[in-house]
Amino acid sequence: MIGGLSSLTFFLTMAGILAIITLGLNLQWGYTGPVQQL
Amino acid sequence: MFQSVLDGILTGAIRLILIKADQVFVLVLALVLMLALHLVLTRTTFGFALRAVAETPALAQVAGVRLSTVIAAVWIIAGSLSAAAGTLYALTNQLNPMIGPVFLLPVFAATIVGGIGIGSVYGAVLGGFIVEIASGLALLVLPSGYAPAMPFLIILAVLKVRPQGLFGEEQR
Repeated sequence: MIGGLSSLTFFLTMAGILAIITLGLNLQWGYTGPVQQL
Repeated sequence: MFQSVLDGILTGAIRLILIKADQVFVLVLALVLMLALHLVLTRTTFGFALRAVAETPALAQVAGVRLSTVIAAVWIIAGSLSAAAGTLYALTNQLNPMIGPVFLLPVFAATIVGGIGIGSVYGAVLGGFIVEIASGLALLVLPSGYAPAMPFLIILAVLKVRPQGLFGEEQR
């Protein structure tokens, strides 16, 4: 149980980090126009 | 009295599930950054200019938006977000020169899951959580060597079921 919650916290932390990088890539792809201009 | 009991319970609970202070800091800062970006995109003139450029670059230019400045600003924001994420990663994990490829595929998968374009900022965040948690859960049923394949499977599934992503707009 304790191990599971610790793992969940670790994955949530990593997911938060991944979400921030994804936000950056999403901005570049979606807000600078290249995808719209395809 | 109540406050001290509550503090004791919370501290005990936090110690019990072994949440490190760094992890709490990472989660809180991630949420703050997302909220800040949301506010910038929806409440500021710069955000409106950014969305106009994303919608129709030529029309935005006609309306007085300096295209090169906006695009440069987006690159700076995106680079800053990556730098912040790298710093947060360094707080909770050991850095090595090869962490770039480790993140490359999950980030592409998360972006595709979330969808690209206006309104998909929330999708990007959700995509990040979905990909990471799916990769983590995959370890429960698959040998750890197969875990890196999970982003591939997620990309395939999303492109088959909903090609524009969860929050992306359908292209006509």
